Amino acid sequence: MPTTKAQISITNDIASVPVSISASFDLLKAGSTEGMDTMTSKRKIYTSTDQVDLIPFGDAGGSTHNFVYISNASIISTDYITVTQTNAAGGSGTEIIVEQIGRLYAGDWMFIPWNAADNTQDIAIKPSTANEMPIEYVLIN
Amino acid sequence: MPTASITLTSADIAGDPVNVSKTSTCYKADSTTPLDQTNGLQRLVLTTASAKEIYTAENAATTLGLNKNAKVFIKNASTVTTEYITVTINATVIGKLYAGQWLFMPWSQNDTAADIKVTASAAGKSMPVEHMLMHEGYFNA
Repeated sequence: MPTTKAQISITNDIASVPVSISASFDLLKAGSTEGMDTMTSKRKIYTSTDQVDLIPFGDAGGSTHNFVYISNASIISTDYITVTQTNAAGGSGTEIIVEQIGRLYAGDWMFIPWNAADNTQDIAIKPSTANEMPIEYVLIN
Repeated sequence: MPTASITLTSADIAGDPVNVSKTSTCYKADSTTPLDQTNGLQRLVLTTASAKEIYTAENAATTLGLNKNAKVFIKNASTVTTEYITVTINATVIGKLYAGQWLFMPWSQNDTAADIKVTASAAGKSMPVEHMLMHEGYFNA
């Protein structure tokens, strides 16, 4: 089975006594010692402020233990995307936002586990501007 | 300045090695001013399967953190492979973190119920959870 490692380093020097965090783990299937073996990665440039599905739950292929990396590769500091979980069953047109996670400004990234149990857990984004905004993501499960 | 770096590596999840590396400075929203407040690294031990609120969203009377930038780090510090915590925002499941796994995500505090909670997979365990918040405005700062 493949071995995929995720490593994070955080330097929090906000307080007068800095805190540094370094942590890593191998991406394993749920409750298992077997490595995750499927990966999807994409880069797409968005030119609209429309809310769009970035990763529909079906992309997880039925897995309810996935990891998602999302990066806003814009270089315009005020450009951001709002990342949400949305409900594809909520009707036609723009999906209903189930919960907003947060904003990724230019250069920001996030890395989260993703339940993807059903179509109420799509991952959607909404760019703040119609400027060209390159978004990159990796889905591993 | 507070920074966060991630590296995703795998020699064998694809035909060619995968190496994703990204470092970002944690800025305030719409700004290149670094985040300047933090609830430093904290550690708690979950012994029940009840949801434990680790970060409380704004109450309706204030907008300290509304759509501001905040960064959340959460790690399941258990060493038992099958033990996990479920991470939720406003009761919406984001995903599960098994032993040793972590997440790093933005948090918009966009509604009064957008609390972040963690729930252990089983009661009667001693499941250590570590977490940290860097922000520019937060109800319980």
